[in-house]
Amino acid sequence: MAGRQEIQQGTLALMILRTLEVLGPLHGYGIALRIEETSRNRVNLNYGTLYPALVKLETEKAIKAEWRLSENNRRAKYYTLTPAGRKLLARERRDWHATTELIAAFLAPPKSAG
Amino acid sequence: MKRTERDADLREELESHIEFAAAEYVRRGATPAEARRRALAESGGIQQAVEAVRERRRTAWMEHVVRDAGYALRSLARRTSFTVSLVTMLAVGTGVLAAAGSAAYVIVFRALPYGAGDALLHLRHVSEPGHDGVMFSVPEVEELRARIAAVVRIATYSPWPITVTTPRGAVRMQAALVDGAYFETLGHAPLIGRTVGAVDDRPQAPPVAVLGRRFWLAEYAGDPSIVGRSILVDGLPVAVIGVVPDAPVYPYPADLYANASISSHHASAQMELGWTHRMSEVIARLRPGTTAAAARSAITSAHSEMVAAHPDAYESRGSWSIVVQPLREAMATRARPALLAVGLGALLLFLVTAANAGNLALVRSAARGGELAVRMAFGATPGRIRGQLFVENLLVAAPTAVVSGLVCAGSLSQLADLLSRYTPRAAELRFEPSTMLAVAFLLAVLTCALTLLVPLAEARGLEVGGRGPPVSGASRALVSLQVALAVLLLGGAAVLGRALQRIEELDRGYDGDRIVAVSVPLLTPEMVVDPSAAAEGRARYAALADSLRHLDGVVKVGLGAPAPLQRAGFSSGVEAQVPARNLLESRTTAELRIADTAFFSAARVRMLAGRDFNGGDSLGGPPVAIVNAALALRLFGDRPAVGARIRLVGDELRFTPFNRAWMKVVGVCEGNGGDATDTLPVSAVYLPFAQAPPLGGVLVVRTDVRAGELLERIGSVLERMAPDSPVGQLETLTMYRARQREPERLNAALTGAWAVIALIIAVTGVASVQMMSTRARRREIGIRMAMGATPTVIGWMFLVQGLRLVGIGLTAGFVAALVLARPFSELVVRATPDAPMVIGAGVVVAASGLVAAWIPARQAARIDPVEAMR
Repeated sequence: MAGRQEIQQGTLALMILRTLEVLGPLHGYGIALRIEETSRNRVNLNYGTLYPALVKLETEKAIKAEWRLSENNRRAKYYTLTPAGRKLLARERRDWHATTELIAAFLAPPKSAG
Repeated sequence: MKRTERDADLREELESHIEFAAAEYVRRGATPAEARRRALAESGGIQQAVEAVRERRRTAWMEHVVRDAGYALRSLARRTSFTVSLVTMLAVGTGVLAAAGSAAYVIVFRALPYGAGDALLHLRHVSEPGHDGVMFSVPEVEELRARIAAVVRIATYSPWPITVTTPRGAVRMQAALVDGAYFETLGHAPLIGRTVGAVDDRPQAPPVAVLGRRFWLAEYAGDPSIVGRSILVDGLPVAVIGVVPDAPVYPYPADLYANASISSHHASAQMELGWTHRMSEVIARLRPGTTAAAARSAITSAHSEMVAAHPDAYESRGSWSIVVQPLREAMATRARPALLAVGLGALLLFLVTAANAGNLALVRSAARGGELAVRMAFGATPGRIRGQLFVENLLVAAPTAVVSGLVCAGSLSQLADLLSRYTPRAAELRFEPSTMLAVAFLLAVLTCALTLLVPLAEARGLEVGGRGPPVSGASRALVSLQVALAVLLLGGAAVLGRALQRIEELDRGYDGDRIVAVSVPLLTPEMVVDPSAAAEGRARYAALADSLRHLDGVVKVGLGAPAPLQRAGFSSGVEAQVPARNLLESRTTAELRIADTAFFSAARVRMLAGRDFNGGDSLGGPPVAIVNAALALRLFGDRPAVGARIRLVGDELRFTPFNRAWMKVVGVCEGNGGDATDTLPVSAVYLPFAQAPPLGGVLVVRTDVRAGELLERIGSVLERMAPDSPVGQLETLTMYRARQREPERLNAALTGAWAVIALIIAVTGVASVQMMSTRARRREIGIRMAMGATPTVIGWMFLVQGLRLVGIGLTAGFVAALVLARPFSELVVRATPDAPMVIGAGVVVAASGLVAAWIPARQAARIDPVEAMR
């Protein structure tokens, strides 16, 4: 898939948590759609990537799942952010910023002396 | 949710995802079939997704365990000293307690290793209430057997010392001369061959022997062909007819069983017919259907009828009685106080270690409070934390069980050593992996559970922000208990150390490095009947002493029995011809000892009055004796003993080679004759070697060099001159004394070590609990400071609180010391617990406690109120 980015390990969890924080309870398709849209289709999520990540977050109790009816009356499994999930998101976000700042500082053109 | 349900749930979820995606393509204008095809293509495959999720679930679970174990290992490894002390505490406490418990079980409760087991009774013949038992004579056994045949079967054995010539040399040992009913009555079946039976009881029956398994293994390397061969017993060939499993023989141990034919003494008419010639122990086996109580009353009344029927045979008729006791109980009786003491000690040790373990866990959880709080803040549930702590404790429990097993095995062999002095069943104490490991493991798990409870309780009360939970009353009580135990152990160690010091001061009477004593029995009581053999024995001693005297460095060679410092095997009544007026009794009991003309000077025992034995005190000359200071005081008070006349008295003398002739006291020697661990001075009377009946012999060699290097040369002389004699341990008196002192030394050292550990733990306990307390009360401290309390006031507040813990512990320790002082002093020779020692221990503990309470108090005083109140 030329032009499309591989998702780095760990960043998908951050994307999922952030999506749920912004949009509230959402099913797997909705999460995938939102991530693809937000990335302007640079990220393509197949099920084998998305669902294991959801399971992992669920066992860590960062999100919880329940079956509901969607607006157009389809049965779908909706995921909701838990308080622990919010804390996890806060930490991941902090770590992410710290990392990107660090990397940015490294990659910045060296300042000339004086 | 089960796995199949989870999979179905997942498939339904994935299906709904595809429908959403397909619906979107339809909305954009695709046909339904085309839309579904495209949605499926994008999914990356339903089956692959299911597999990926399954894989994730599996690894998620495993990740937890692996991560927990890794985490626990890292956490334990980071606190090596903590882990090592925790494992040691738990292992020592449980291992020793398991050993003590199993010793008590084996000795007190387990059935005897005989076929007849609990149906066996021991009959003890008592001449005066409160006295030790005397044995039974053959006619007494015959009469009793006839009177009580309806309730019990009777078997007898007679303890008899013999010398056996084995492939490894001559061995002096105790044998049991058994009657033909013995093995069958006890249900003691042979391993190989047969046992002594009725056929061996006939007059003129050939002498036969049955070997105990231990002796067979040690001396004949377990060779089964020994059965049917002959061995030399006291120089005579005796046929070995079988080997029996090891079993306790009470009250006299035996590793070899024989019929009466091996001893001319036992086969003699005096033995067969003498009503008061008492040399047999009696074991009875209940007939089926008879209770022990019924048998007891039948035996008691049969015995009193017998006493009434033979008035001339029982000196003071009214007080003769018979004690009937289950054999198992009889064997355990003397071991009970020791078992109780060991059990209490082990329990105390267990409490100390359990308290220490609990305390260590407290200190650790306090140190990790922050770490656990952070983990909880990041979403770890209490369940996850509990799981993690559980894995951690499992990791501690596994090595603990192993170490505990080792400690248990070690303690058991020590216990077997200690208890062998009190019960023949000590030999049965063995580390049995199945039972022992189970006990030790259970205890280890129990203690781990105790440890587990502490951090769990703490984990539940944790909050974000590093404030600890309030310190519970239980933790405080635990710390006070430790302080109390530290006082007790420190006091105990002081008392034991003082006792050891006293014993060693008393020991200093001998210049032990330059005196060698070795037992070389060339004379045996058998020689009484054969005076020419006795003369030959004396001649051999003279030759032996002569060759030793020629060795370089040897100053003096004396001969006597027993060796200096050792207790004599035989005591007798002693009577003064003209007793002191102001003494209540004219007779007393004294050890019978033998000395030649060089014995006292070789052993460096001084004469306090009169003279040493000399050449004039010969076999034909007037009988003379030397008494020790203790006996002189008892018999004569402050009158001079030298010149007075004394004689041996007592019923038992009739069957010994000693007579009742009056002897003139020619000297009074120093020393109690015994050992410094004897609490009362032991009275002793010395008879001249030339006049006394043969009682074996000990060579005492005094040297003018340190005797250690001479030992080898003395040994080779003995080997040359007395090759067929069971020579005893060749050692200097100092070596002998050190060997004798080992248990006391070990006790004192162990108690000292425990006291130090207990003190360290108590100090850590006080400090850690106080630190937790300051942590829990941070906000309160902040408020107090904001309201105007100075750091000094806050410091004092916590110092007083800490000292209160120490004070409670000290008080409890003192009270316990008061209660335990008496039993302790009765248990330990020359231990006299006195107030200064216990108070001294208290001062040490109090000083350490002050330091322990001061550190957290200073921390509390340094708290910044602004920080604390945020």
